[in-house]
This record gives sequence, structure tokens and C-alpha cells, in this order.
Amino acid sequence: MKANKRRKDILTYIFITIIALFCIAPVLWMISCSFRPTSEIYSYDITILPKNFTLDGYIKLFTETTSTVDFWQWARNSVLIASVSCIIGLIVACLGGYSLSKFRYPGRLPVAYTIVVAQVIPGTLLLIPMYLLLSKWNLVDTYRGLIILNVSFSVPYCTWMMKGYFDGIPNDLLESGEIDGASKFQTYFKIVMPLVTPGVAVTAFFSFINSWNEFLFASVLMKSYDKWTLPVGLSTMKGQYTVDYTTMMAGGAVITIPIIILFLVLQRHLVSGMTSGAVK
Amino acid sequence: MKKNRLGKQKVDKYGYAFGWPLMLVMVLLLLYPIIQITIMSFQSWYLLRPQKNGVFIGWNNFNKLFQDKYFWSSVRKTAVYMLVTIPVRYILGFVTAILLNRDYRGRAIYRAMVIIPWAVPEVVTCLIWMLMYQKDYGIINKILLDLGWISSGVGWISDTNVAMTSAIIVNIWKGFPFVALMLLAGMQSIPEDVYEAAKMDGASSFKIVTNIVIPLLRPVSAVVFMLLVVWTIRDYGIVYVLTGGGPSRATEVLTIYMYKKAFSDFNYGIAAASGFIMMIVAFVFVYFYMKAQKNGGMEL
Repeated sequence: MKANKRRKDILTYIFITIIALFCIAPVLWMISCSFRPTSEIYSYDITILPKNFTLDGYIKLFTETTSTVDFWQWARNSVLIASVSCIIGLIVACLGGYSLSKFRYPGRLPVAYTIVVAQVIPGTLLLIPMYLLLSKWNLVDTYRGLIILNVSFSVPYCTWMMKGYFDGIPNDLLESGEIDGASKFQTYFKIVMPLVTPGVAVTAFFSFINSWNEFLFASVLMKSYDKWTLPVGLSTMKGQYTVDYTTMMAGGAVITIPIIILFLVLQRHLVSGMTSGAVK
Repeated sequence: MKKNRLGKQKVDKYGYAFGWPLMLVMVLLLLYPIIQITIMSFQSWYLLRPQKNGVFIGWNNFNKLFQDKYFWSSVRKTAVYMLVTIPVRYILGFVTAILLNRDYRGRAIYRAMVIIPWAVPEVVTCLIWMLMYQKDYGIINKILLDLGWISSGVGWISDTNVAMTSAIIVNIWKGFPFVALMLLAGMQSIPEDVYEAAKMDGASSFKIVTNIVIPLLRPVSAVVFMLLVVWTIRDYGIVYVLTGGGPSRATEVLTIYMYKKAFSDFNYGIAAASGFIMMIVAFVFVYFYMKAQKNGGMEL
């Protein structure tokens, strides 16, 4: 029995190590390449660790502004657009999720179905009519236009997640609040919202990340380089004749590592947030 | 209160008081585009000939679409792409979840490592893999050459025969950790005594997986499966940034075909028609899925 368990453990270790390496190797490779001179990346003699360690990529990324590259401007755009989209989306989702979870009224089911169906619709498809609409409103190449698109994309699943958290709150609790003379809104803000704070945090995180990583809308809508977000800016670095992989990988590392850390810190909550409803 | 849940309900006006911003967003940002795309697919919308924009032309867009061999090739590519990506993502995720559900030292660290691809932004994912896929100095060719598995460098994203496989690999890398974590959460919600009882009865690990874990995991699997299908249909970012649909349209899936029709050819009418078809396929899938699964295990 013991020997059997040992053998199984060893097999588990072998397989999980292979899978884990597959997962982290590309990220480690990015970090490793961000510290080598470009000439080393373009060489046939590749080593795992950089031979000539250099910070040039990071220095260039943070200090050099050319006519088409401006890291700090892109970072400001990304932070601004992701924060505003996240806050608007969250307000709509918190109110809407509560409405779907705790009230019964005509029109509730159509809204609930639309939310589910909305998650099937490709962003490319939404973009075609929305682009024409936004150009009619002169919102192409503006922060407002991109925020509108991001909100439209994140509201359905944020609402769905928040509904899952509200479903977990017993109705008796709401009724007891009302018996004590609190209005529906007082109950909502004073009793319900404090109980779902962890859920709000997870939903906010997802909504923020969604806009932070968003590429399609930003690349179509934002025409001038000083309005680009980080993913769009970074992606344009590949289009040039000789690709400066050092700077590109440095940029990749800078925008990825904070997110990885957040994911790792929040991992338990993220999974429970995504699975709310599916796993009880 | 019970009665309320069962549907024969009084109208709760407060539902609108809380729900109106949501309804506004849904109507303006989702219903409007859906209706608009339906209308546009029957209209002329060719930006290079703007005077005719908005004129109804019946089924013309669809006729043109069905005569376009590139449309059919993109349908085929989407099918291949889905038929490979979804099962591989699912199986790899399932195996990973089983391995992470066992009890051993360092499990938390392994789980943390598995989460990482999920956290990497799509664009960054593509840039990393582009570098690794490089024909002459990429690390993947270097390793395969050193191992002697290939005799000359493979053009992972420049060779039309290989590009699709390369794109699929990147998609699997990015997508399977989520499946693993969802299934792991499902496995951990199975009560411990169920495993204990099975072990007492002398069931082997394999038997436990096939006879206990898989059946009890069905509700979660159903949701994960639907999400996988949906995400794969509408997938766009990775293939687009990695290959741009190329080389010579080798990776041009339907979303990219639609994108190019609209934003490179400026023929929004045809793009809308292809989008309309895609939307119908997705709706039909969701409809049958929700019927089969009683709302997909989701309480509406």
C-alpha cells in the first residue's frame, strides 16, 4: 500500500512538473530575454540565462520617447481607461445583479437571457455597428468611445458574477431589515453591500483586467498613437523592420508581472468568483 | 416568499429602480448592435461607395458571401480550430485538475504556476510566442534541433502548413489553466467522505476518477464546456496578433475574415452578413445547450 502510494506520488510529480514547466517557461523566457542585448537575442547560440546582462530594454522603455513610442503616455491611458470602465461597469453590475437576484418583475427574464446570450457575441461583431455609431457621435479616437465599448463588454459577465453573490444572501435577512423600518435602498446599502464586499472586489478585479488587457476595441478605435493603451502600443513594436525584442520583452514583463502577482494573491477568490453558480 | 420564486408573482417595482442602468446598457450597447447588424446584413454598406449606404439590397450580401471561397475556407478553419482547441484544452485541464487535487508537498506552488498563463495579457502572450517561434534564432527550434527531432528550423508562423498548429498551441497554453482551476474547484466541492468510502471499498484511483469524479463533476463540466465553445467561437486576439490571419490566409478564422471585410476592405455589409451567420450559429448552440442543461446549470 505504502509503496503503491509512493509510486503514484512520483508519477504525479513528474506529470505536474511537466505541465507547470509548460506554463511558466514562456514567461520566464520573456523575463530572461528582457535582460539581454538585442544582438544576443538574434544569435544562434542561445543560452538560458543572459550572457551579457543588461537593463537597456527597461531604460529605453522608460526614458526614450520617439514619434511613435511613448510608454508613460500609454500607461496613463491604460490606467485611466481601465479605471473608469471598471467603476462604471461595477456600478451597473452591482445594481443590476441585485435587481435580477432579489426582485421579480416583467422584463426580468428577457434581461437575464440577454446577459447570457451577450457572452456568446464576438467582440468583432459588436464593433461593426458600434464603430459606425461612435463615428456618427464623433467618439472615434476618444477615451469616452473606448470606455463605452469596454463597459458594454464587461457589464454582462460582471452582472452575472454579482448576481451569484447576491443569490447567496438569504431573503430573510432583507425582510428583517424591512421590518426594522429600513427602505429598500437603505437595506441595500447598509446590509447587503457590506456582505458582498469580497464579491465586489473580485468582480472589480476582473472588470479592470478585462479593460487593461483589451486589444481589439482599442486597436480599431484609437487612431493616434498618444491615445493608445499599453497592449496596442506594445503590439505595434512588432511591426517595425528589425524588432527590438529587448524593449518589447521588457514592456511585456512590466505590464504582466503586476497582474500575475495580483492573480496569485487573489487566486482563491478568483476561482470562487468565476464558479459562483456553477459550483456550490 | 416561496410563491415569489415560483413565478406567479406580484410586480416588484423596486426591480426597475435597481435594474434600470443595467437595462439601459443592455439596450443601448447590446440590443442595438444586434438589431443593427441584422439590418445591415441586408443593406449596402460599402464605405468606398458611400452614396448607396443603407440601401436595402435583399440577400445580395449573403449571395456574395456564399460565393466567396475565402469565406468557406474561414468556416473550415474555424471548425478545425474549434475541434482541436476545445477537446485539448478540456483534457489537459482535466488531467491538471486531477493532479492538483491529489495530496502532496508543494501542491500550492504547482497550482500557482499553472495559473500564470491565464494572467498573461493576450498581446504579451503573442509577443512571447512570436519570439520563441522565430525560425532562425527561436528557442523552440533550437531545442528541437539540439534534440535531433528536426533537421532544419521550422517556420512556425511563416509556414502555411504549420501556422494553424502554432496558433492552436498558443491558445491551448493560454486557455487550459482556467479549465483546470474550474474543474479543480468542482472536484474540491465533492465531499471527502465520498472518496473515503470508495477507498474503503477498495476502488482504484482510476475507478474513483471514472466512477465518482467524472459523474459528480458533470454540472461544472457542462458550464466549462459551454464557456470553452463560446470563447473559442469568438476568439480573435491571439490568432490576429500572432499571425494576422496569415501566412496566405492559413489562419484566417471567421472572426478575422469578418474583421478584415469591415476594417480593411470597408465592406461593412458583407462583414455584417458573416457576423449575422455567426451570431445565429452561436444563438442556436446556446439555445440547445440551455435546453439540454436546464439553463446550463445556471439559475436565471
